[in-house]
Amino acid sequence: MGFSSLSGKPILVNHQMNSLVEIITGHTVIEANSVWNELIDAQEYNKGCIKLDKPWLKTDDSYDNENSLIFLLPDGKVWHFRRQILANESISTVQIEASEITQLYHMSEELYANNIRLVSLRKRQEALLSNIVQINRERELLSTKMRIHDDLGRCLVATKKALDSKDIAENEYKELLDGWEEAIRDMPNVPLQGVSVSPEAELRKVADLVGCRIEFIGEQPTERRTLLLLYSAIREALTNAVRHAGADQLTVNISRNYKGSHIVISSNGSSSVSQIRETGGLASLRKSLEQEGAELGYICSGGTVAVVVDIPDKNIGNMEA
Amino acid sequence: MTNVLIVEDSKISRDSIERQLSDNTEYCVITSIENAANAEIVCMRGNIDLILMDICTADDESGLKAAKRIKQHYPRIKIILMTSMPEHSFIKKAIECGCDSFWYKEYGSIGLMEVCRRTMQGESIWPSGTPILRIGLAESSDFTERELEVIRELVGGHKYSEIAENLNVTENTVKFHIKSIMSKTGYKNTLQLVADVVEKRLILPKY
Repeated sequence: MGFSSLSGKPILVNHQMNSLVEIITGHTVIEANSVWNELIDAQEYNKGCIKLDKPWLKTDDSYDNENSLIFLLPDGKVWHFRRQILANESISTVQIEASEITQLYHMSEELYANNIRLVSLRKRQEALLSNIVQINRERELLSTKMRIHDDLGRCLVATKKALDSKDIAENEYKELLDGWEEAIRDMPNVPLQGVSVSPEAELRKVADLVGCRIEFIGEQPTERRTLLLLYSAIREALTNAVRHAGADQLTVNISRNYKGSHIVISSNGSSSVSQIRETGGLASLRKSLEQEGAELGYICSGGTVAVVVDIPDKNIGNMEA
Repeated sequence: MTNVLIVEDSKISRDSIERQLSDNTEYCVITSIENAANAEIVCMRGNIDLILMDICTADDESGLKAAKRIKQHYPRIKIILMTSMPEHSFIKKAIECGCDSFWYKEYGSIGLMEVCRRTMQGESIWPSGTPILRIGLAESSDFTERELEVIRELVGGHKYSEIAENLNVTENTVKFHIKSIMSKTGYKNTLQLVADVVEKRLILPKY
């Protein structure tokens, strides 16, 4: 602990403070302000003394960097120096205090390392969650490859045994042949690489199956998230148009505005509804659209219903957030 | 003749199922698709008798959700849910969705064709339980239902206060369950736990 006047003249300095300053600077406290400046910005400290600049070491928020210094001393101990002005009506005094924070320092260091590890774990978790389907697909593929490998191995061993015996029964021969056929039949099914899913191709395929043709006007969005939302809306519109309006053609009109994609999905079906009651699929569609910042609306006129969807570009949503 | 719709996003599994069905003259595969959300549209054809439905399908679409919707509109159609994921809640959810049978692709002791045959005869075939996984020092069967709910909340990235609100319990109860889970698994923090349950696919929050 040490006290001085504002000009730096020492008023009271205890042995511990003197000793610490001497260890770091090589001299005792002669003038408090110059000692503090020396602690802040010395060209060189005594051997084994290191000024620590660890932003993760939170000692006390009320002290700024200019009035808070941390030193590692040659004996391995960590000291925290704090400077503050004590003022009352008649006199102002500068107080410099030093406290040993060795344990706090080492715990903070451990906490910092743990936090880095946790961030890494969280990233791993996020990656796992987002890729779990793909990971599973790859696992299934690997598992099948291993099974085919095992089947071929068993066939080879059985064939070698049969050839060595030179006396093979008719039923054993058939069993062997069946085994080879089974193993070989699976081989063309193993894809060499992942097969990408085309949402458009599959939707067109199922629409064809129920006798409905989908026509696109305008350019489809390229961003995957927008595309999946678009296809969710088309799917719902298609289901309702075929089921309730007997449609056999669905028109998807896509345009761009300053916010993102504006989509109007209409059909050639006829419906007597003047107002849409959202239950089941439509309610679920609205929920998934709104979760992504998109909007859902309807145009009911002349015996037809059109579904209107506005999907903002992803970066716009982020900027607003 | 049983008309079948296959919903499976893995080409290798799809081809294998198609082959098994084509070897049997009792079945006719109407089509195979990769995305469960498209299954209801195919059902509008009116001639589907049986759906072999994967749970985790293309574009993260859930076979469970699709099955629930199909059962609401077409209760006549038999649905067999299939999965290779040992997710602990899938069997319970499949029952709630009104599915007829459930088949584990990797863990089952019964073949798919037998499940199809018996399901079409009116039986419901269910596994005796979820595959048991090792999570840290514990086995997945060591967790209580409530503890699994808490783990699911942790996987969803929720804070203790949010978990308490979602499960309608106090924060102290949440802490009690987490302490019990950590004691069973031997893990030092919840992130290690979450990474393990997700990696082993005991909990899949998207489904």
